[in-house]
Amino acid sequence: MIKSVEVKNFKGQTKACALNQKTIVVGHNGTGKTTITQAIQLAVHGSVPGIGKTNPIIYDTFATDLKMAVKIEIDDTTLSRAFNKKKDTVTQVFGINGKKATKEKFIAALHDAGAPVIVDVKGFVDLSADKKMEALLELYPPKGDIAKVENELEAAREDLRAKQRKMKELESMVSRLQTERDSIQLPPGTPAETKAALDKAVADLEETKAEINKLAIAEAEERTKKAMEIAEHNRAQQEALRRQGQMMRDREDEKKAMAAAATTIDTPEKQGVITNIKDPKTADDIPQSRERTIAENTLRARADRMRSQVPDPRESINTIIAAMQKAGCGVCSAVLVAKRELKKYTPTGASHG
Amino acid sequence: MDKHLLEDKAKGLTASISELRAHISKFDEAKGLDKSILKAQEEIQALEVDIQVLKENGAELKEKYRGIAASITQPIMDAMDAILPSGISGISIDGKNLEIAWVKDNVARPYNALSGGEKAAFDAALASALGATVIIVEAAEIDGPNLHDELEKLAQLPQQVIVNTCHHLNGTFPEGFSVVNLG
Repeated sequence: MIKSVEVKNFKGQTKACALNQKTIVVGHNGTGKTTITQAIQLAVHGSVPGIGKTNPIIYDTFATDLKMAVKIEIDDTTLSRAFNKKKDTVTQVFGINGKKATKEKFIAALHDAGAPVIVDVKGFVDLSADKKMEALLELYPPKGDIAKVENELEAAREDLRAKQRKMKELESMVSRLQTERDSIQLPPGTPAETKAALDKAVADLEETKAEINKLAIAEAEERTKKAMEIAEHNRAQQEALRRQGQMMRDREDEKKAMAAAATTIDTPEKQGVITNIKDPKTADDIPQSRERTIAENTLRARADRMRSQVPDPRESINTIIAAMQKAGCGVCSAVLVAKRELKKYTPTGASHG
Repeated sequence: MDKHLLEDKAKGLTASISELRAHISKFDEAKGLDKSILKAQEEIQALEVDIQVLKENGAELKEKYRGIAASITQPIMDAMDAILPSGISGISIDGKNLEIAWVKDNVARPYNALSGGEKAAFDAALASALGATVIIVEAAEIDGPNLHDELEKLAQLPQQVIVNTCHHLNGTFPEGFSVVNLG
């Protein structure tokens, strides 16, 4: 117990005050009530709450003379701190029972005397949350690892928040999907019925296409037959013309040979050859040289005209083959026949389309 | 059959096939959405279970935390309540935050909201709880009746108590107190 407190040149006061276990200090403002408690705090802790802890600051705040001192009596021990200013230096002098002492001895004596604990409540309240907790945990050790449980709790909270966020996202997604689903106008019938109808339609279409192809092939074959007949007719005509031309050339050659014989040996009359013998078929129809030339030219012109008027059989056959291939019968017998016919009109070594 | 009729039939069938395929596409789209919705709903149900479990675990951890925190705060509050002239102290630990309040008439008033006189009484209680062996009460702002109640409480403490006041108590102070009159 602090039995007394004494101040010298402290806040302009020099006095002593006896204290009991329970003391009420009564006085009007400025009579020194706070001075007594501040002096006790300075004597015990070496500083006063709210005031700096260095000697010069303490001296400048409280001293009113070159030498300032506070003294307390704890049980039978008197402890004092004096703050002396010499020139610009403030020194603190410790005292135990009226004698100078080192700081260490002073603290040891204070401890031995019971070391009064005066709590600076305002200082505690102003501490940071961590520091306050540290102070409390030191005074009241918890029954368990509060930091560990706190971390576990925070992790559980974070996990919960994450799952709640995920759930909100999913709920939002379901809502969006449901709206999308509601906007779909489903066709009548079931999927199975629709699938069956589709299969039937596909089969019908295939069948119809097959019928169309069949007709196309028949038409192509008919066209091929006609083209071949035309080609055959043209070939026959050309052959007839060729034979007629050849016959005329042969006759001309024969005439030339006969004329040459007449000039080198004798005239037929001279030799007693009967000259009025005529070819049993054409002698009367064979004109003289000039007339024959005219006739030949006429025949050739007629043949050329015929050739130009009659379509090229190769073109016709190629058109037919292309039509049949387009209709899907690229390897059917009609195409093969048409290709074989085409070869007849194609010069050896030439390619055809 | 006539080729043109067959071609018309094929065109009709092609159009019909196209339409039926569009119908099937619609059915498929709806089926896909139904599947996605169902999957998401299943996930939501699973999450609801997870969340419930997490909440229960969290509640258990919170209870455990409260228990440990109470092992710190309860002795403090008990020590303070022994001194406070009225009401009870309220100290709670929430994470790293320490809330200190004076609860009077079921209303908790945080420390910083206390009046000067209340703060003087509360500081004395808190100092006691924080281990002070000498309790100094700057009671200038505590009114007469409250000071009397405060002194009654302080008289019960084992610690040394020094109360500064400007109230002349006229001998009406609890037993055990002595008075130093500074004038």
